[in-house]
Amino acid sequence: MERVVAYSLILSGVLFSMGVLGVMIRRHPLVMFMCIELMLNAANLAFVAFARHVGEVSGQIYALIVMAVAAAEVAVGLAIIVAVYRHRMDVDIDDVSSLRG
Amino acid sequence: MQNYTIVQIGQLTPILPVGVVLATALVLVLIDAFGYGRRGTTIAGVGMVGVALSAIALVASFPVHSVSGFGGALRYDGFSALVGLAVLLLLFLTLLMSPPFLRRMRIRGYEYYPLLLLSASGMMLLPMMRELISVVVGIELVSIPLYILAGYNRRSEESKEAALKYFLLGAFASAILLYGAAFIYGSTGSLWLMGIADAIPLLSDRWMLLLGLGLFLVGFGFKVALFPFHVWVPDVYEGSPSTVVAFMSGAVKLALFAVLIKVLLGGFADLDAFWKVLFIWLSAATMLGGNLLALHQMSLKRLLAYSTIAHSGYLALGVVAATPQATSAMLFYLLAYAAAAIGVFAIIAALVGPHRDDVDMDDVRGIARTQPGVAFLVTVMMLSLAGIPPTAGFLAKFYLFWEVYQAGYIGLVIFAIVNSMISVYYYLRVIMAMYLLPAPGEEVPSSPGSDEAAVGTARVLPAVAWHQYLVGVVSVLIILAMGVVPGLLLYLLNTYHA
Repeated sequence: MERVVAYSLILSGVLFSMGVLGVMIRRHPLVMFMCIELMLNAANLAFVAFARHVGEVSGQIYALIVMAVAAAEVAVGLAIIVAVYRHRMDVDIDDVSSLRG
Repeated sequence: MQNYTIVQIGQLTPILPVGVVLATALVLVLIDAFGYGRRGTTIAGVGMVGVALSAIALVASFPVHSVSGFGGALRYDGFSALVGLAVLLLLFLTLLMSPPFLRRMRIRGYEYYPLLLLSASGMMLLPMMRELISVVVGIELVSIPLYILAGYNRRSEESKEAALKYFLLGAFASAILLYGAAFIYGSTGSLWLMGIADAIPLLSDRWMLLLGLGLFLVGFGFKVALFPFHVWVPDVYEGSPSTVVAFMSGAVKLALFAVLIKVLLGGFADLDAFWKVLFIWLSAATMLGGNLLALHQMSLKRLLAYSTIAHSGYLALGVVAATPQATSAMLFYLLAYAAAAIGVFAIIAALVGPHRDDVDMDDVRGIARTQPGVAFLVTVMMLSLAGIPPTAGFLAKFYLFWEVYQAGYIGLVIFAIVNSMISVYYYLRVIMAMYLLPAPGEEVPSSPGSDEAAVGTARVLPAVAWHQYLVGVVSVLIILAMGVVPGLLLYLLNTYHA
């Protein structure tokens, strides 16, 4: 494996782990959502790195598709977070618990 | 590897039914925008006409042989057509029962209907997909409208909370799914199931592929609510509007399990030793966890949420067996489950009060005397969910367990049978509350030990509107038809499972 590919993959792995840990540890929905974005971008980086590794362009196109999907998710996600925020003025995921979960 | 060709208009015929659903969704948005949809019934009615047209197009173009399109990214066959028809039927019933529910909950804003149709179009596309990025995009197309719909009851805190939880965990699962897809792409050089299947035997070391597949399946586990990844389900089911739950409980499962089995058999058949072991544990944990947690729920929606988790566990058994016969057994099971689930949630949607979108076990006490028809319908549905003859649920369980037994997993089948016996307890609790316990207004009998009857918090239930009653009747008819005369459906499933 080429060196630049290996480094990109290591970076993408670190980003993904940071994202997963962030979703599990942080309690603010907005921060959790940012961590999810981090995971998605780690996937993008991996796609682009693998595209170079495989010697094919389709990985780069996949990254573009993922960006489009992420944009759609942002639109909906921010709307939901704002809707919750408007009622409470302070959102902590542990307080959003009228449903016993 | 693939020969990419320019898409000709004739190649689009197989996805015409999906196009009709999408176009109908846009028409519904326009109707609302031009102000003709003030009452909601107009929009629902036009939506139902569109769904009917789409179903006609689907039946008219029912594929005898499978057809590939879009360079092989879509494969349109009898299996996907059957799933598509089932999704359309569920969508039709949901549109039928929604207007009175939305009126009672005083939910305005008619983006509700187009969003349902958009989600359904994703569900129709999913079983055709033969390329992993398409699968991920399809899952997003199913999920994103449902995130919005889960929070559609804007006045209710619970509904917004459900939307937030559903969204955060759904997006989390999508990210894991994508990261898995990236590793599958990196190790095999392709995301086309054919390409993956071709590349696997040539791989010298497989750890990267296994990592990718593992992440991919974990993402799927979140989406179909397998046990360690099920935590969002009860909250989302309890908080979301009941009609939305009615739609998603059956239809999401149907689409996702259909594409899951296609992905595993089409692309990863050589790795079956790996994912079969994974699914043995997942299905055992899911069945047991779902059933045990359901035992003492007081809220009907929560009870059904845990029951849906348990049913995911039974369905994962079909993934373990992974034979063509098991695939058609899974599809039969999914149809039986979806029929019962949409009926139960239709009745729940009819019984909720304006301030709380849920029905408690106490609320349905004695409903057999006030509304005997409703009690009978719910009884049949509960018996079907529990798997008691002569309902569809019994035959579906029997057929599925038999195929798993044929595939050689005897221990797992015994475990599943024990689990379905546990599940009978909580379904019978509902039936018992309806028939044997006194209604809230009645005199509490002085028999000692009837603790449940002593709680005086129940409210008087409204009469069931004809829309929801009709959905319940259709659901019961399907359950009984599938249970008593399953011949035609089994013939179709066995002909078109591949």
